[in-house]
This record gives sequence, C-alpha cells and structure tokens, in this order.
Amino acid sequence: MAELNHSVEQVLLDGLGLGVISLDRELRITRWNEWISLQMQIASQDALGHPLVELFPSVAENGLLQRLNQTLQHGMTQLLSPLFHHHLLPIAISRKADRTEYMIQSIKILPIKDEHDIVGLLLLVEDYTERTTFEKALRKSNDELTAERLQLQTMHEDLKAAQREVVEAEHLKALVETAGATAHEISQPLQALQTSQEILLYEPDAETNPWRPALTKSLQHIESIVQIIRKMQSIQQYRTKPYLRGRNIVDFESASTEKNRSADT
Amino acid sequence: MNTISESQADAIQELSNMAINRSAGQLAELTGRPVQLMTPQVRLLSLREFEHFLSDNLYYSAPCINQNFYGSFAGRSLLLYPKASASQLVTLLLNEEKELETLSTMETSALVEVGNILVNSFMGFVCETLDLSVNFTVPQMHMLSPKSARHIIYSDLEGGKSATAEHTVALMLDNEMTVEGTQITGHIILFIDTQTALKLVERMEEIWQS
Repeated sequence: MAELNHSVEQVLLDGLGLGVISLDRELRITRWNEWISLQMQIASQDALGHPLVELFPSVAENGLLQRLNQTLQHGMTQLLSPLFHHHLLPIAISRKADRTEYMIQSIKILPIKDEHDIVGLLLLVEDYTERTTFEKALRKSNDELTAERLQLQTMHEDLKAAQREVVEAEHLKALVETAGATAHEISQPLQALQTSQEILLYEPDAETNPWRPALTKSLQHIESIVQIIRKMQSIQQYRTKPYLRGRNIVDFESASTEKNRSADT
Repeated sequence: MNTISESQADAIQELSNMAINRSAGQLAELTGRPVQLMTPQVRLLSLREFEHFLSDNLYYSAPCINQNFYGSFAGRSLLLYPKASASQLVTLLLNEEKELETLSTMETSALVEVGNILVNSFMGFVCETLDLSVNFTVPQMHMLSPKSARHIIYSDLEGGKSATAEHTVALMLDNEMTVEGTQITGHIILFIDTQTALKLVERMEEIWQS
C-alpha cells in the first residue's frame, strides 16, 4: 500500500507541469521532480542530498535564500512574482554566443510541517516565459487594434463632417437661389413704392399734410424691408433658428455678411 | 459588533503596528522605493457589518488577495484595496498607469506578492502571539464583485461547515502605507471564529500590558 501511495505521489509530482523541489531544514534537496530534472539536465539521483545553494549558487545573493529562511522561521507561504524576481533559479532556456536567456519564473515557497515544527520546504517553480511572451504579443496586438479603432473612429467622424458639409452646401445653394430670386422680384415694386411715398412726403404743401406722420413711418418700414433684401442677397452660410411648433426657419442675420445698417449707424 | 474595549483596541493597534512594520523593509527592497507604514486602525466587525462596509462600492472591481489557513485554528485572510489605491499601487509597481482590468498574469502576481508580504507579517505575528501553528494555502487574487465578496465572506471556512454570521467575525486592520510620497490604503481582514478572535484580543492586551 505504501509503495502504491509513493508511486501515486511520484506520478503526481512528475505530471504537474511545474518544478517541485523539496528541501530539508538545512536546505538540502530531498525531492527533485522530473520537470526540474529536464529543465536543469540534472537527474534526480545527482541532485538529492546536495544543498540548493550548491546547484544554484546565485540564490545566496538574489534574495531566494533569505526568503527560504523566512519561511523556515515563520512558516508562512510566500509567492515570488516574476515581475520582481525574473529568474531566481537560473534555468537557461537558450544560449547564444553573446547572451543566455533564462526562464521567467513564479516561485512559491511552502513550509512542510510535522505536528508542531517546520521540517522542510517545498518550492514550486512555474515557467512564465511562454505566458509572458504570449501576453506581450497579445498586448501589442491589442494596442494595434486600439490604434486602428481610433483611426477608424477619426475617419468615421471626418466622413460624417464631410456629409454634413455636402448637405449644408446643398441647403445653401437652394437658399441663395430662392432668397436671391425673391429679393430680385420684391426689389423693383418696392423701389416704386418707396419713390411714390417720398414724392407724397416732400410735395410743396407737405408741412400741412395730415398723413405726414403715417407716411414717415411707412418709409421707415420700407427701409427695413430694403435691409432684409440686402441680407437675402448676401447670404453666405446656411443658418437657421428655431421657430414655432418645433420648426426651424432661415436666420438671415447670421446667414448673411450684410449687417443691419440702421444698427451700425 | 463592538466587543473590544478601548484599551484592547489600543493594544491590538500597537502590536499590529509592530507586526506590519516588519514588512516595510521587504516592501522597500521589492519596490526599490522608500516605504513607510502607518499605525493601523483596528475594528472587529460582524460579517453583516463587513458586508455593509463593502457596499459603498469603493471596493468592487478592485483586486483583493485571499488566503485560507488551517491547523490550530482555521479561517481566511483577505487583503483589500480601494480601487483608487489599487490603481496607485499598480502605477508605482509597474512605473506606468494601467487599467486594473488589463493587468497581465505577471503584473497580477506582483500585486499578490505585495499583499502576501503584508498579510504574512500580520499573520506570523498572530500565530506567534497565540502560540498557534497554522498552514496557509497559496494566495489568490480576485477582482472583487458583490458575488465574489459574498463567497469570500460566507463560504465554508473549515471542514465543510458553513461560516455563520453568529460564529465568525472579521478582524479588520485599516492599513496605510506611503510609498515615495504616495499614500496607499489597504485593509487586512481575518475571518475567524468569534472565540479565537476574542482570545487573540485578550492575549494582545496581556502582552501589551506586560
């Protein structure tokens, strides 16, 4: 039964897909699973019994030894992030003439306890290299997609603005033609009306004419119509303003370049 | 729930301060920046009160790190950051501003390590104080949501027995740390049974008085 349990344990340790190293209180290796054997090219029987620091001398300086001792002392589980520690156990994944690339790792340190005491440590080593590369590629692709989306958004806005300009140009064309024709047609009879009113106002006995105040007022109104016609003739933009029942009407004041002369003077 | 006296609160506060400050050096070394930890405020809350504390929405969609422990006593520890503080911490750790929702596995693990250091310093102290031996599971990070919060608060703590509002309390430390001038707020919460919590409070008071 004990043999079977040991076999199950071994299968589990080797099938985990991560490195498992167990250490005694003197930090000598007591377990070294298949994964770590393959990565380190050191067989289990060659690693067992050796101090961890002998196989990985850098752990004495890179902080791992200190963390192992902390867990031995306080019994707390520790997680060492690859972002801070990169490769605490220097496992080479590629060697080139000028540089060696190491496996990026996440390491977990767990205490092994008997009833009361901490009797050893368990190190779980997870390879983050591929995940990190994949996440970097994913982020790059995401950034590119975001940039493309922004570019499409800008193009869409430009297109909408161009559509608005076309519609506005059509409106303006129709407005200029209609307002121009109207102004032209009204101008001539209005001119005749203005002349007749002025004749009546300035005739020899005009001083005693009882209609003089009404004629003066009438001429002022004619002048206002003349101003409106000038604005209609100088329309440059399509501008509207709200009118009754939710409708809009052309705003001659802001659509035209012609300012109200009476207001200017 | 207000079952701790003022002198007990003072004792927990001072001793927790000593415990938490053990981690300042380690955090400074890790982040490469000076880290200052303030004296934490201590509260003992019922689970309902804790759930209500979360409901102001500062904490949802923010990362939390939880770790179960078992042995002489069982429970769950939780490290919680308000969303704004979590964002500041991420910016400090990564040297760039990043949305919490877009963190990679590696970046997430950095947050977990910082949380793990803070929780370990406090839990180590609790175990030493009460002369208890506990085992911890590996810390896990989640994005807190109303659903996950309820799960963390109310899910089974030991041996399939459901944590009930009557038998479990939340011992909460409001922790503030300053990393290079940036103030970061966090909360360490221990969900433990009421008896253990009261035993812990009494023991801390004894130690402080002696």
